Amino acid sequence: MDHEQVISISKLNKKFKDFELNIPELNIPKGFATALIGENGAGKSTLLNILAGIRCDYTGKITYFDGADTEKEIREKIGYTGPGNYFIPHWTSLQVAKASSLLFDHFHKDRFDRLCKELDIFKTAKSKKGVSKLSDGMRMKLMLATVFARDTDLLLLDEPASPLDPLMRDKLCSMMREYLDQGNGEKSVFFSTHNIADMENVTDYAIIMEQGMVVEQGYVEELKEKYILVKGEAADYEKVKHSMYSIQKNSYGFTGLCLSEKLDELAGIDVVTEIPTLSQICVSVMKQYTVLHA
Amino acid sequence: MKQYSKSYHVFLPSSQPIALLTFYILYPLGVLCFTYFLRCLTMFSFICFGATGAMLIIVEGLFDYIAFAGIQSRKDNNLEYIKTSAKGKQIICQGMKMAAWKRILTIGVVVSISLFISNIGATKKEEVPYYMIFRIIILVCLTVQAASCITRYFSNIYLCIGVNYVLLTLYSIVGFATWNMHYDVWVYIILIGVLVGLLVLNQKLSMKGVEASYYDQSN
Repeated sequence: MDHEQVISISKLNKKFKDFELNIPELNIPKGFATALIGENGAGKSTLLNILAGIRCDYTGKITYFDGADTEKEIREKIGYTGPGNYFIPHWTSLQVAKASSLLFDHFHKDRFDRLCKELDIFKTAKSKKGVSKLSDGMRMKLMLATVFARDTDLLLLDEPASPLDPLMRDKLCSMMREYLDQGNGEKSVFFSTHNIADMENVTDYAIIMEQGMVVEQGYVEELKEKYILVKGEAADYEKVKHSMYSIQKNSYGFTGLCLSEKLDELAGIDVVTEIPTLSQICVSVMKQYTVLHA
Repeated sequence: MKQYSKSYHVFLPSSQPIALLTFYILYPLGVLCFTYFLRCLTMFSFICFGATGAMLIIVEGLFDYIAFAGIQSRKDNNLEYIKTSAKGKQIICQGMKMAAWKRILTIGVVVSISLFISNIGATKKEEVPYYMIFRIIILVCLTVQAASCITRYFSNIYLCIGVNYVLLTLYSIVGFATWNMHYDVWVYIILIGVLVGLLVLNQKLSMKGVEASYYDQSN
């Protein structure tokens, strides 16, 4: 599939003392929800911070949208939520709304109020309660309300699902899908997540990062065609293990992923093949590149 | 001006009418009541007057902490959301300028009124002369400004209070030691020059801190 890009990254490099983010080329498709997946410390937040413009110490080129916008226009079109010191701690929900109106040209107070009610922020947090006193989940809801209350073309969400309960994660998926549908192919979402299973139904494109590098990427449907889930009996483990991309023994036999192109090598062996979930693909890919050894 | 005021309110702990009333009206009134209270205790006029300045230093130091704590540091400034906006830096800059002007205005008004309160019932010999208004305003402004140049590096309230108390002690020593001294015009010019310098320095350091927060400390 070939689509327009919402962000094009070229030769991006950011060095820390003990870590390096190095992305020679990366294109994030326009009009889709793209998930950024990777283990802790893979460089997901650093990449999102760079894209959101709150970190400028990098080399390389980033082109947003069609490349014709000024920095001010780009920032107006991007909504970002992130962990850590996001809001000023003593802000109340009311001040978040006032500050947002001042900070962004296309912030809609009425939409913000509606979202706060919808997401149940005011019921428990009340407008007078300081942001620092909100739970992580409530704070994330408030962040989401502020970005969804703006007219944006791109949402950059840094682990939005992590502090949310399962019900709210489902709601977040619906909100993201609605946002994309409203955009008629013009709006995009780029989010990092560890909750792959919960976010799978909203993910169109996946990027897997390990140790500061992009190690796999593609449309979810393409990835599900590239990798096949293979299950078999323990007796066949030794026969298949060299043909498998990843394999794990369990009490019934073995389960693992095999590249479609290598599936022929399993001919004649009694195995069952299935379409893997995105979560299974991600875990297998991450295992190939991780520095963690089980 | 309205824009500056709105930017300043972004950094205040609350935008509720009662909070703003406290911030703009009740706090200065409280300081003046404190002056009157001291005068009722038959304290010397100059003590009442000097104590007003000391009270202003403590409260203004605390307000500066609430609004801009850690803004000069790279990490603890809690500005991520503001930084995502194209207008972020402008709003921070305007907010700090407004805070500086509001502070000078508050100190000016409160110190001026407190002189009259301090002189209630005072004998001609005990009365604090009017020219002392200007001297105390400059000394208080200098102290608060110098304190905020240092305290904006920290987000720890105890460190901020500590710095404010050290400078408050300096203010008291200088105030007492020079009370009966006659300041020539050039001394006032130098003091105003130092105050303007501190205002500019404070603004520059704060904006430098904000700029630096876009870059990592490890580089």
